[in-house]
Amino acid sequence: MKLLLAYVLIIATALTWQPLTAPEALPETTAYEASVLYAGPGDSFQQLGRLNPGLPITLIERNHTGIWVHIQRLADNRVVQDGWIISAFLNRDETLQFGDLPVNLTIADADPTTVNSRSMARLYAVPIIPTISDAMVALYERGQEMGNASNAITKVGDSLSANPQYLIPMSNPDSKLGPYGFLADTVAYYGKAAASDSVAARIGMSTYGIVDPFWADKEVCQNGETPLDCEYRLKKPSVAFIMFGPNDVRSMTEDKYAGQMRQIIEDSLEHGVIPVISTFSAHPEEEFFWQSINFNLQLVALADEYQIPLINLWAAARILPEYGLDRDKVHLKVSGFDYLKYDTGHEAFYGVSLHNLLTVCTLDEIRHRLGIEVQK
Amino acid sequence: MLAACGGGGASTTEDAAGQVVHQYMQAKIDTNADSIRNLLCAAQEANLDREAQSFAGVKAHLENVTCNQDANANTVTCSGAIVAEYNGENTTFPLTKYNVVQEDGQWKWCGEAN
Repeated sequence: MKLLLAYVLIIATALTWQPLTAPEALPETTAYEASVLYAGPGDSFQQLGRLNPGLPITLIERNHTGIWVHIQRLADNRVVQDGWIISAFLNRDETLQFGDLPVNLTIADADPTTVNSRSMARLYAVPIIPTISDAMVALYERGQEMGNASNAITKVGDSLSANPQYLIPMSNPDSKLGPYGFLADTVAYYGKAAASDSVAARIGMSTYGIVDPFWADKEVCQNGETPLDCEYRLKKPSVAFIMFGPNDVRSMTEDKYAGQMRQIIEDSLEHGVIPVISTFSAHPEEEFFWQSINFNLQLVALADEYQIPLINLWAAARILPEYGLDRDKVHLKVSGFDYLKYDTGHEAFYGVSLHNLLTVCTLDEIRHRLGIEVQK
Repeated sequence: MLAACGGGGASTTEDAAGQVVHQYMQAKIDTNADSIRNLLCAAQEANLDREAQSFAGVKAHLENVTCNQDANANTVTCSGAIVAEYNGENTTFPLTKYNVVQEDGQWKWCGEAN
C-alpha cells in the first residue's frame, strides 16, 4: 500500500510539471549511489521514490545538522523529483559547502505519525539537535563566575564515551570537515580542550559508578571524590557530554536509571556545567531494545524538566547501517580515523562519526546561543 | 596461610577491621547487597544502592588484596586492587585508605578516608 502510494506521488509530481522556483545560485551536484527520496529529513517520513546516481540535482536547502538535504531534479526545465535525501550520498567535491545552503529550521526531524509503536513515536518526535534554553545561558554565566573555562568541554559516560575516537578527534588539526565547513570555528574554539582523556568516562562504568569514589582514578583524584566531581575539578568545563545507558540497561530498572541520571545532572548544574545528555542507539534484534526505548524516554523527560540540551542520537542513528552499531550491537562502530572526517560521508556509516558530528553541531548551537565569537 | 593472594576471603594476617574491609570489597564486586548492608556503617546507608550496583556491569575480582588497620586510627589501608573486566578489557582500581567505625561491637566500612 505504502509503495503504491509512493508511486502515485511520484507520478503526480511528474505530471504537475512544476516550474523551477529554485534560485540559480543554489549548488548542483549528483548522488554517487541510489538514494531513497523522503518527504522530509528523516527515515520516518514518507518515501517518495528513488533517486538514481549520477543524475544532476539542485540542492534547495538543508536541515539543521546538514545530514539531510532537500533536492530537486529537473528534466526539460521542470521539477520531476522533489524530496529529501541523506547528504552523505552526494558526491562531495571541495566546492560543496552546506554553509552555503539555506537552513530549514521549521521542518521537524521526523514524522512520528508513521511510526507504529507509541513509545518509539515519542522518541522520534524529539529533535536531533537541541535548542539552548535561557536556563542554560544563565547556568553558563554562573559557571564562568565559578571559574569554569568557556572553551573547556568534557565527556562523561561508559565505554562509548571513553572511546578515544569520541570527542578527542576534535583536537586533531588534520580534521577534514568536508561540506561541514560551517562548523570550523566551533571545532577551533573547543577542539584544544577535547584533547585529553576524561576521568569521568571509563570502560564498564555505569550511572552508579560515576558517583562512586571507587571508580575515580586515584592518580589524579582525591580520596572520597567521585569521578564526576574529580573531572569537573580538573577541567573546569563549561559543557559536559553525558551518555549512559548501553551498560545500565542490562543491570537496572528505568526508575533507578532515571534517579541516577538526575543525580548526575544536578551535580553538573551545581558545578555550573551545561550537561548535554544523549539518547543511545539500540538494535531492534538486541535483547534490551524495548528497555532501551524506555531508558531513552526517561532522558527526554529529564531534559524537558531541567531544560538541558539533549542530543537524540537514537533517532539520528536509525538511518545508519545496523543503527550505527558494531557487531556486538552495543558499541558504536568506529571509522578508524583519529580526526574528524566528513569529506566522504562517514556520518552516515559509522556511529562514532555521527556521534561526533552531532556533538560538534550541539557545541555550535551553544556557542552561537552564548554569543561567543572565535578570534581568527 | 601467610597472605591474601588473588581473590577469595580475608587473610588471617589481617586484623579484625582489615578483614571487614576485605570482606566489604568482595561483597562490592559480587554486587551482594545483603553482605554490603551488614558491613556498611549507618552513615553510609543512603549509598547502599550505589555500593551494591556500581560493579554490576563488569566481571571483577580482587588481586593481591591485604587490608590492615592503621595504628591509633579508625582507618584501614589496603594494598592490591580490584580488576574489572569488560568486553575483554581490564581496568584496575588500586585500593586505598578507608574509614572504619565500630557499631554494635562490629567493625563497619565507612567510605574512603580523606
